[in-house]
Amino acid sequence: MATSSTSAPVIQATGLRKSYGDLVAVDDVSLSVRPGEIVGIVGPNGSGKTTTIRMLLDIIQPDEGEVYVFDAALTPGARERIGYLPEERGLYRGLRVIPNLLYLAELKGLSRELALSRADRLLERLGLEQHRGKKIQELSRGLGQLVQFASTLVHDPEFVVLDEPFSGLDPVNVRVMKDVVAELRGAGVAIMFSTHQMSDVEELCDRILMIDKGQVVLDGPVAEIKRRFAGSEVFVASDQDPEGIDGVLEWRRDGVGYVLRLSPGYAPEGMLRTLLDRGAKIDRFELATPSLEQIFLQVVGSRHA
Amino acid sequence: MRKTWLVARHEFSVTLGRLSFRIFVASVPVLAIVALIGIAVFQALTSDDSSGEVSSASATEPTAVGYVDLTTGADGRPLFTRFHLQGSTVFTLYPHRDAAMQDLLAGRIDRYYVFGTDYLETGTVLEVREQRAGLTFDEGGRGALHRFILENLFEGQVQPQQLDRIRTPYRLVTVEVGESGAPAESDFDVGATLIFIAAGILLLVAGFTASGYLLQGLTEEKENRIMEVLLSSIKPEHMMFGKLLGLGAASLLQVAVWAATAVAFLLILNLIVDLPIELGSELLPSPGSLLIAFAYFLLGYALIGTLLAAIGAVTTNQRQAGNISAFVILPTVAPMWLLSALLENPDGMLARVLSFVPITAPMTSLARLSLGGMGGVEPYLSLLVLALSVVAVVWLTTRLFRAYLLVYDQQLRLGQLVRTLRGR
Repeated sequence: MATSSTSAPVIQATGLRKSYGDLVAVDDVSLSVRPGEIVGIVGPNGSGKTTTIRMLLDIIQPDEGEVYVFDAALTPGARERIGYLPEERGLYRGLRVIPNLLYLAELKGLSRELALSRADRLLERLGLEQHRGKKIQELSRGLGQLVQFASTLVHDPEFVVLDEPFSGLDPVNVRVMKDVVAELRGAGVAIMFSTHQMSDVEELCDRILMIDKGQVVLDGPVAEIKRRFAGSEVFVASDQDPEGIDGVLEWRRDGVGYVLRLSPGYAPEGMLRTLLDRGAKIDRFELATPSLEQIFLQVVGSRHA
Repeated sequence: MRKTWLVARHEFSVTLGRLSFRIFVASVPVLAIVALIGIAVFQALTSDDSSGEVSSASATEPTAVGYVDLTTGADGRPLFTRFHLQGSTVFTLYPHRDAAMQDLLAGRIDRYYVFGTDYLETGTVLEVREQRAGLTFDEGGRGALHRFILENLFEGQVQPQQLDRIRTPYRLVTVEVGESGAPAESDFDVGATLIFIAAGILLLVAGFTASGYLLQGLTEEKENRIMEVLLSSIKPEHMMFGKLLGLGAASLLQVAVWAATAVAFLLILNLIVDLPIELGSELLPSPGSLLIAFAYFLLGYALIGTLLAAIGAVTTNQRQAGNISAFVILPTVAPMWLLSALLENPDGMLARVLSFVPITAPMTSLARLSLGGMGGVEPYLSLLVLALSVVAVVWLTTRLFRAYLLVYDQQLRLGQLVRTLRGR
């Protein structure tokens, strides 16, 4: 199943607000996630990401705002169609892997038999089949995290929330998990993905929701946001030094070329024309899209300055 | 409801899987078996076949004892000349101490007694026996000696019934009268007394065991951070009910094991030592008593369990939870400290007040009921107050569950707690 921007959102929240005493943790946050879409929820520590997620899952109740899951208020039946991997990992450390998975799957409405077959299938997919009889406390942190990931997916959820899913994992297991996430997206599962790693967001997410101090400061498709922040810089691979070129505010070397920051009012097309008029031999000319990390620092940094 | 049962089943199986729980439950049957073996061994070592007297001799072989009689009766003859066979003990007369000593050292007699010339004035009887190493339980056939003396002194001198009265001077029968002087009807019910005492003890032990595991489980789930996963699948109140049910079932299983142990212990003990009570139907409580005891047990457990669940919800680690739980445990057992006052006056003001204070009601009422000091509608009113308080505590605890289950690292603040309870 492919990503569909026209299909109805799996989850839609409008005007969420939550305060603890005088502290407003989340202020007027609205969001939606559609089937087959991965939405990254990013923001600095304490920005309100986890509080927002908890309100979406009815773990805590918002002071204001509404949450609709599968076109309705969150019912016990709807809870069973959601998988949640919280940032604070937790399983019953004294229990073995399979009883942990079975219990959590049964709480999601699965029969014991079905839960067992799905648990076995998932453990095999994640390369954990030889650990199925071990107690959680006997597993390494990374393996425990993979088991937790399995518990998130054991009931075949249609909406998955992953809060910092890759923290503490080695690169091999990160790859395994990313592959599974990609498979889920391909199968039409809606995924909300919270992280501090902007490279992961760039790699996996279709859209991002940036939250700072409880408020949404950026919301939209990743490519569009990057384009939005790319307007004032171009990348040029040319035989000419950019020093002294009209319209260049500042420049820096970047690999085989230069990144030119254009003066206000100077469009990329104008810069291309200027370079050509100067007889420059141009190998590459493109908009210099900033990384999400740069955008994050720019947006959040300006609010905290 | 289904998820509540799932949580209950999970808690039940996890609790049964705890080694500490298994040891605790098994401790009573093991102790009972050890006690029965000890009693049986002791009985085998010390039993006397017909009289129940204790003797070092085998139950099937007669015990030979000697005696030297230096007394002189009113008729000028010695006092102890007859009734030489007492149960399995044979009394043999020796003319003097040397002869008795010779047979004692030769092992032909177990011991000998000397009735001196001043026996009638002083009652003194000298017992001579060989020294034995270590601890002995030998009471030397005192029952046989007692009967030997009585029968020689009085047989034929008094009527047989008088001799019976000399042996057993009285059997006390007490009649209580009402204000009119007519015998008051006794409302003493052995079965009810036993069931109320048992319910009180079981409430203390099993209730606190289950509640302790509830507290431990909740704080463990908070400490190992699984709480958030659970709360994404189940509502806090359903989780709390599931935990109470599952641990309550484990607690009832523990009670059942211990109760069955107690019954089996009594039945087997009766076979070994012939208990002075009849283990018959009169020991069975009436259905009404059973129901009241069960209601107090159940509501008492629900109250204690819910209060401790609330503590588990608002605290962040087991040490903190353990400290605060004293505020629940101490008032619950307070009636035990006041037991002498309750026993002295089970119908007094203190007893009545404590029967209507929810936290002290279960123990106080069960103690009073065991004494027959709580009649009429009082138990039902007390149960009603207790039930209403359980409902209120459950309602307030669900608020705390929602607000505090995901609070991991913050200090507990009373002001915030009160605001949460008030729904702010």
